[in-house]
Amino acid sequence: MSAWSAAHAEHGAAVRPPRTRAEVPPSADAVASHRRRALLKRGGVLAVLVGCGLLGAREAFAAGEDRAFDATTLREVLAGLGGEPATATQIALSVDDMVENGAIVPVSVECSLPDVCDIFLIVEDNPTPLAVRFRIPEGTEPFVATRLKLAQSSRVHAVARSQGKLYAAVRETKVTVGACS
Amino acid sequence: MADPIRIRARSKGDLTEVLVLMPHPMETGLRQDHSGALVQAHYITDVRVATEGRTVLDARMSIAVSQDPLLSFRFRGGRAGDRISVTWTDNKGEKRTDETRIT
Repeated sequence: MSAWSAAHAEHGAAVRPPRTRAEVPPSADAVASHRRRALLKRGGVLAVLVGCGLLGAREAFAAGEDRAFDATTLREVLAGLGGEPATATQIALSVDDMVENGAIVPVSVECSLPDVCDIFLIVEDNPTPLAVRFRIPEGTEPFVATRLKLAQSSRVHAVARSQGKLYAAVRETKVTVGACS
Repeated sequence: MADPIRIRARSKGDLTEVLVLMPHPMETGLRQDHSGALVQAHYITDVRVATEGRTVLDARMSIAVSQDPLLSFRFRGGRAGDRISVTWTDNKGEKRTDETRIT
């Protein structure tokens, strides 16, 4: 699945030579503009496919998600997920301000954004920050609760993908005893 | 073999509230045993909850989910008596599925 989307992305990015060759070689400008147009067209097609759900956002984001799970910094995680999320008051992230045991930290997220398809929980200062990804199918409420490990005091981020865009809420949690000792 | 998954699914009007507890060590691979050797990573990577052939939640987990992962969520369209199943897969390729009925 991810290999397919990666191949597709590569195909989309490849610059093909112009299909028809005029008898008089086209000027460098003309070639460049043709290439630009071809690129735009392919990019557009990909966007439309994703937009229509024909090429699910799933396939398109699968490769990025693998990278996000392996990432060791918040910045890399967000890059894998598709960029910097906007701060959203429509995400209610609930996690205690102070916990004694970092091994079991209850976390819950409830979103009032439309069409939420993914919810990610990220513990910024964990060795691998991305903790869990929930895929929310149609018919399931954009609400999840679980328990996470915090290696140390950290900011916890809840990131939701709604209509193709990322939104986030952040809370800081102090841990008295970390989870990785 | 891991212990059975505990599933509680209650229908409340149009919503079904689901609580899932999956007994699993969720070893991070970063912890040392008494002799100072690292304990091998062993954790659930994927969870799928389905009812009557329809997926209602799909999760991908890392080592940062606590031991014996607990999930709580709710979905629309479930009725009392419908079957609901939970399947997890871990990083060693072990798998477990358990099922119950919505009450």
